[in-house]
Amino acid sequence: MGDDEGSTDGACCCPPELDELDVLAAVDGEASVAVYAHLEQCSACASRAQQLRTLQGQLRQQLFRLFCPSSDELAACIQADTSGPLNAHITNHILGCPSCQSDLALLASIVARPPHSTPPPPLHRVIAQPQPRAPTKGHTWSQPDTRLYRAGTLRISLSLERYGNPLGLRLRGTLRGTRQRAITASLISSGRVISSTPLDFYGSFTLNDVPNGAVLSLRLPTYEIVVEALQHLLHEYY
Amino acid sequence: MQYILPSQPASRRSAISTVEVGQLRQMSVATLVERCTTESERFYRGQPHDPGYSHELFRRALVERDEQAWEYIFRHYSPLVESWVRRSGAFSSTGETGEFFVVSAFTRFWRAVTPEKFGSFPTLASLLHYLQLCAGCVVIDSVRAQSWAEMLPEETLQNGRSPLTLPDEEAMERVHREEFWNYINTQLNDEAERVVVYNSFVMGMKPGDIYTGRPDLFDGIGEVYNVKRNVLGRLSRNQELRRMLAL
Ligand SMILES: [Zn+2]
Ligand SMILES: [Zn+2]
Repeated sequence: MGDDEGSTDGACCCPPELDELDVLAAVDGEASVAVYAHLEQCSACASRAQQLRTLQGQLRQQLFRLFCPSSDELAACIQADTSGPLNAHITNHILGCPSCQSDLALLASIVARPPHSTPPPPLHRVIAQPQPRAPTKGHTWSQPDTRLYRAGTLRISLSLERYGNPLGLRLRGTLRGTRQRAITASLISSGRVISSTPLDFYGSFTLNDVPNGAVLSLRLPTYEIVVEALQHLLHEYY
Repeated sequence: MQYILPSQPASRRSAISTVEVGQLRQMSVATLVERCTTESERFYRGQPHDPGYSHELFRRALVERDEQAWEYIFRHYSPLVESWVRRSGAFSSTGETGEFFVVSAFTRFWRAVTPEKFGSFPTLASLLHYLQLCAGCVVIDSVRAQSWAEMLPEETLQNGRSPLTLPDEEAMERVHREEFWNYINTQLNDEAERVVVYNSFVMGMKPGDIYTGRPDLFDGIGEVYNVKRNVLGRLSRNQELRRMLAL
């Protein structure tokens, strides 16, 4: 290799020059400290190492994991485990390929737990406290009055209004003080979810057909805020 | 990919829901979304829930290609998909965002579950299991891309192939690479040379590991190095090979 005599890195600076096996070991990361020290100083030997590195890189570029099954084929192996015969060709490859074994283990770890079988542990509960409100002129059907509640630093405003024919009761609300998304508002009656809706971008939500005795729950990723006082508010309407 | 076949014949009643199939089919997407949100909330609170509405929304999205239904499914199940990816352990080392994996997993799922194949997923659980596999596949592809980048010197990566290519290009490239391997094979003289070349360049192993794997074939690491040096010397002088590598 190397026919670059006459170039600046043509001759070894500190003979004897490294033999081909030492250069190869250096490229493969298995050489002695003395060999690496020589390569640090000698541009001629370093140039030979670089040529070898490039050739090996080109060969790997064409050949690395050439016979490994695609991730889809590995997934099919996992599916086949439960639904049909395994592809013998792929199974044989995996048995002899540590890289595929580790890919398969990774895939198996992701599907190890059924996707949606066990609900998360019970949510930590925070009871929202009613806040004093400014005196109003009394509510009318067209302009419902708003009640305020607080849970830690979060503020909730709620208003009820009649709507539709036959008349139903609608709850409108807004949650402020959090940047959390993925919050769901639910009406709960006798411990069971009656209806739910996700909060919109502004933290607002609307729930229709509010039954007497319902409480409101806002579920955040790790806890829920419960507005029990909604029950008292509902008494005024039922 | 293979798919789980329906374990029971289709009936009037949905396989997983207390609601009649006909009734589900007549619901508007808006109503289905509302019911899904409520049923999902029941699930999160450990209450009995009906997955039939979600399954119907998946059907609208994948069979009828309803955009509104797809949008809901994407939004609603994204956090779940992200949680699968994050708990995989490989997530942090890939350097990709959770969003990247979520979008890639859903794209893969969308392409794989065609209207014709939807019948192979009779329950919400089977759909989610498949979505989970898709999430696993995008993680593996990302980990492979990374190990690929670590394996190759920078200069070969720059003008070389990207690990994330289109399926057609990938197939073409595979054919080209297999031809390349066949050619290399014709240049090798014996079993020892084949083992060294296969393990060095196909498997990415170092001479020390190659010797550990085949002590029956080599007297020591030194012999592996000798064989490798001889082969590389021969290959580097081969004009045909130089031409192929320059492509
Ligand atoms: Zn030197
Ligand atoms: Zn493999």
